[in-house]
Amino acid sequence: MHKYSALLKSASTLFYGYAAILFTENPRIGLLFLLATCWFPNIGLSGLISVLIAMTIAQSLKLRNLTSGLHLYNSLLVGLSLGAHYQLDGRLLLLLFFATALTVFLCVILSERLWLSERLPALSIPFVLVAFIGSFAAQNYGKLDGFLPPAPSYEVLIAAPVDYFFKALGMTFFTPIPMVGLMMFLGILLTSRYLALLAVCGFVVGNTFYALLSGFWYSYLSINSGFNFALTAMALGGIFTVPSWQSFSVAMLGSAFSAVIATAMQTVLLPFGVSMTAMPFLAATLTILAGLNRRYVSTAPQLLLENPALPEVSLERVRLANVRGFGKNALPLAVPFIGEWTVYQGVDGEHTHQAPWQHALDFIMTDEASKSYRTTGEFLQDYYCFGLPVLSPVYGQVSHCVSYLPDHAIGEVDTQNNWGNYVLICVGFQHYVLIAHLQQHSLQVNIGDWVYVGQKIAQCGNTGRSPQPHIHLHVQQTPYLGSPTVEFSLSNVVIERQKNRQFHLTALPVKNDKISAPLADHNLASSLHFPVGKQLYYQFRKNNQAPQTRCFTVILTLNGQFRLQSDCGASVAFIETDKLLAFYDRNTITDVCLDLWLLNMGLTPLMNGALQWHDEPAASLLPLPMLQKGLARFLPFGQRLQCHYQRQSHTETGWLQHAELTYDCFWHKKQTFHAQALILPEQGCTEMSLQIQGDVFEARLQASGHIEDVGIASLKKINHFERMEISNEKLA
Amino acid sequence: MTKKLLKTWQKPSITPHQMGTLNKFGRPVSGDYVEKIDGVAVSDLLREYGSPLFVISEKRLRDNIRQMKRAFESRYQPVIHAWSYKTNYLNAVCATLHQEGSWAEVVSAFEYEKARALGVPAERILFNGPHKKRAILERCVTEGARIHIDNLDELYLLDTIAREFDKVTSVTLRLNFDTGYTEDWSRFGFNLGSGAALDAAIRIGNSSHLKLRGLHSHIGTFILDPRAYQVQVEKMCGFMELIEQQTHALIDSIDIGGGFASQNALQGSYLPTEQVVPTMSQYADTICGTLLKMTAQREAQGKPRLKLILESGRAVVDDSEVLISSVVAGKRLPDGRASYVMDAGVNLLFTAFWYNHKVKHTRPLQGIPEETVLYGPLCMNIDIIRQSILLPPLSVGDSLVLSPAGAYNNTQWMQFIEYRPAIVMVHENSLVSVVRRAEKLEDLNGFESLPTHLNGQFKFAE
Repeated sequence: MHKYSALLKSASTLFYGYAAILFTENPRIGLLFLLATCWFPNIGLSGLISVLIAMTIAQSLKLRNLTSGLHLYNSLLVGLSLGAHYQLDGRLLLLLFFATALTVFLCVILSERLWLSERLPALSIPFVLVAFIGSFAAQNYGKLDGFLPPAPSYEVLIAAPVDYFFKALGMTFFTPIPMVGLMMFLGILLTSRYLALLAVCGFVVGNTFYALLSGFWYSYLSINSGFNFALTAMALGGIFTVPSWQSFSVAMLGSAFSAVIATAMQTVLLPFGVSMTAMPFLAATLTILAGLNRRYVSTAPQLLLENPALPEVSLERVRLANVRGFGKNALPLAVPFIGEWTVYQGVDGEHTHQAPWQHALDFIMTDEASKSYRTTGEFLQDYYCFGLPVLSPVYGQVSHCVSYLPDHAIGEVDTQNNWGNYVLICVGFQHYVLIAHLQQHSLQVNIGDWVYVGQKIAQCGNTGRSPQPHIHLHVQQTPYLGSPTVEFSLSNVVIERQKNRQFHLTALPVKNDKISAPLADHNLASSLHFPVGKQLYYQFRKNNQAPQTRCFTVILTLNGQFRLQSDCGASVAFIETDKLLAFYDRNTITDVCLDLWLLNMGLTPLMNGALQWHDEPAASLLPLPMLQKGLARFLPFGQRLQCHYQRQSHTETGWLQHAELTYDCFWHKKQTFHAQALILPEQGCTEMSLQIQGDVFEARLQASGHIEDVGIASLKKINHFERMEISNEKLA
Repeated sequence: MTKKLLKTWQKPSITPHQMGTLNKFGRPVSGDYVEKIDGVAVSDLLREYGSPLFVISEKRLRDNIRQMKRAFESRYQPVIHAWSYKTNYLNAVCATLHQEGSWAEVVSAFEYEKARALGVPAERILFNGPHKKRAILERCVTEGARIHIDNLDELYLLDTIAREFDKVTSVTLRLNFDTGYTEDWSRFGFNLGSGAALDAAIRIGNSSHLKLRGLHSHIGTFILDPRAYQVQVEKMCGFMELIEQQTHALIDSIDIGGGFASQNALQGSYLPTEQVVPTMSQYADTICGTLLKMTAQREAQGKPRLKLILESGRAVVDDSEVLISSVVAGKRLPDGRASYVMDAGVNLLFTAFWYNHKVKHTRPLQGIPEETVLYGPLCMNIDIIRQSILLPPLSVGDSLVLSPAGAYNNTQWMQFIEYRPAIVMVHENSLVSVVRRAEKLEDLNGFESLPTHLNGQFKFAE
């Protein structure tokens, strides 16, 4: 059994090496590519031997920096290129061995050096170098027998231009056969529709560029090096950047670059009879990536050098971050007061919040009649907010403050000292938070003090240019008063707008919004606490089918990410603070039970009281019927899932969290589904359900516990069944 | 207009010149008078519901609680207000406050049952007071009400009950201590200085079924110096840290009781109420400021943020209710003072024993104010509503509005000699509801039963 699994693992690593050439990770796609290379067994076998040699060398020498599988696909390419030129025999085997070994060593060094100096991936540089060395060297090895592939048939596979594209794509494996290209294209298409689109567009742009300048629409150049155009577009537009129209444009620019470079290299290399292989792709891709990486600000196209991913995956990550309010470069601030306040002037406000001080908020406190004062409002003491505590919205160091200016009467303004008494807090990265118009002598901090979030720093006053007592809040670039403001947002905030109260993870309120910071619910947080090793056992059932026991385990990855992993390998990352439990980055392994959890609990604020909030999880989480699910998977861009959550708290029964899921796609009318979760004190989420198109998915917490570790026994707590019955009645 | 008024007849009176300045009789009642309560004419109310009459203003009640909550919640969160039932447990008053979010603070089985009957969930009830018998404690434990332990005997009894029912019960410990600003209220709860409180906390810590989750103290009543609360919060937080270190207790709430003064004048107080009684903001500033300072590191230590519980009664309800009473007869006393017999006395306005209530007439009155005594209807010497007040001459049938009357009167009033009158509530839309009807003979006789051999056959003396 052990031997078998080790073999399976090796095979999977092998297929992974094949798949990695075209940026995919799926071993099945790798198998498809392996079959594609074997169109000419001589080529395919050489490639396979090289990969096996690379695996053996890497393993026996315990080389570093090879976890990405970089050495596998570079060696594969080396093997394929040699197999494409020479008959596979003992001599070639000898050459294969040494060339592969050289490739592996180059991979080790180049991947590290390039990352440290330029933050760039090595891609297929080792292969290109070895291919050059090999080609030049082999010209002197008279004992090697040349390999001549049988003359290609001229039968048209699909249509001439399409065949032309497939031939070029097949050249990636040194096999300019339309059928091989088609297999590869199918592999890409199955992995990512967007990558397939980029491949086609990249080839068309590169070829058109060449054709417009050379006059040849069908050329050997495009067949021999056209795959460079496609690969450049895929790498630039899909793998190393977040998909957007900007990244698409850059990808097309890269394809055109690679066409120029290919033309130039042809001129240089043709006399030597040496193939340019992937040189144009590398030159164009790395040049553009290195250039983009030298920008100071992060604007589109957003680079993903640290964690490249399939475009659908990175787009989903970015989409979720945007929906939750973390997409922008806005500094999130905590609410600087206690209780419910009203926005008196918003960003781009009509009074004073104008460029370059447009990013600012003014707050006052109002009563049921929307007045900010009691009795007549003649005196400062009549104003509800006058003298109320002002809290620090950030953790930082007080870089400057003033506290001696007197509070002036209602209607007066002090234009000599616009900001009145203020505290300016430095949070680093050219961000200074200003809180102004504070009460005279109310400051509880001094210059140089470090302040924490929520610390009382002063009291609300009426100093400076302030027609009535209020708090002014903005973020500026420099420590000087009056310096230009930058964007910010309020985090963990409940906003009441037109009688509708909603919790927001981050939000920028507008005028007349009522703002308050909900309080962390310690009981709820401790009921939904997920330390490493925690296990949850659910009885999961669809409709009236027999229930199956499923298990979720909390794992901690090497880079410090907490993930909830189901027993079938599906997993999702999460973050847990005293105020929030949020899940993101679901991997691609199918698991309806985990998706049920995510639809119910995906974004759960750990706050007091009845709350409403909004989230937009990935539409792929919906357990739609097969046909619809397939369609949704193939057309990921045309759909949207909106979740509106509502939670009622009840000390007796715990918390009832209800989700209204609105699914919108262009091929079907809008549909609404309902999900509901019950959270019990100290037990966690004990029941979840989802109704979708007549299907009912349910899960009940059967037990929870802790996996064992050295010195720690495993723990399993069975839930009381009676309790479940009671809560079920409450649910109904 | 002036001519017409001059023609009306005025009762003659003789008064020394002593008006216009601060004096021991207070300022003369003149000028302003109360014609309407929240838009409803006093005369209409009396015609409809009879005199005397208690009138509650729903708007004022809601305004008061909202103002108090705003004052505290803008300085500290979370704040819970628990309505002190003994102050006024009329269902209409309690329900209004529960609608505004207040919990219930009860001190007897009767009050507990009343709150439950009104629909208050047990876990929103704080059960205070020195008198809790086994039966009601059992009910509290099963239903999950929060019990404030007053003495060791109660602690042992509660521990026994919790064990018998095998139910882990969260409890609050009532403390008493000297603040240096208030009189010593040492009869309730456990004393801090003597070590009794720590001893009780350790005993709870050793119990398998009791969990100490709250601390409570009530430093007195009608407290005019907010600094007393500063000391209270400091002492309670200090004790909290001590017991959290020494036992496994994790405190989730600090209950500072009530005691905020209302806008009522204590007898013997010289300055006007507005100058003596601190504003709600002043109370809140001191209490919340101290609490923020004392608990600044708490959340960083992974402990729950403390709930601040207020049990203020008087300051919430007192000025939202008035008593309207009518003049039955006038009499000149031998010492020359004017006096009137009213149809309401200390039987209804129990707080007249210690407050000098505001008295306002309900129509413009002519004549010079003179020192006046207002007597109640009881045939008892102590029945005096105001010992001394400057009032213009009144006529039989004139009505007076006595305020504030919301606190303690509807709970401490007596069915003594007289029937108790109706209580009405004026709603925010100026509609009026009777929230307690006037008593009738059948009501009172209903309690009694006459043994058959005592029925009739009376032999009256000739």
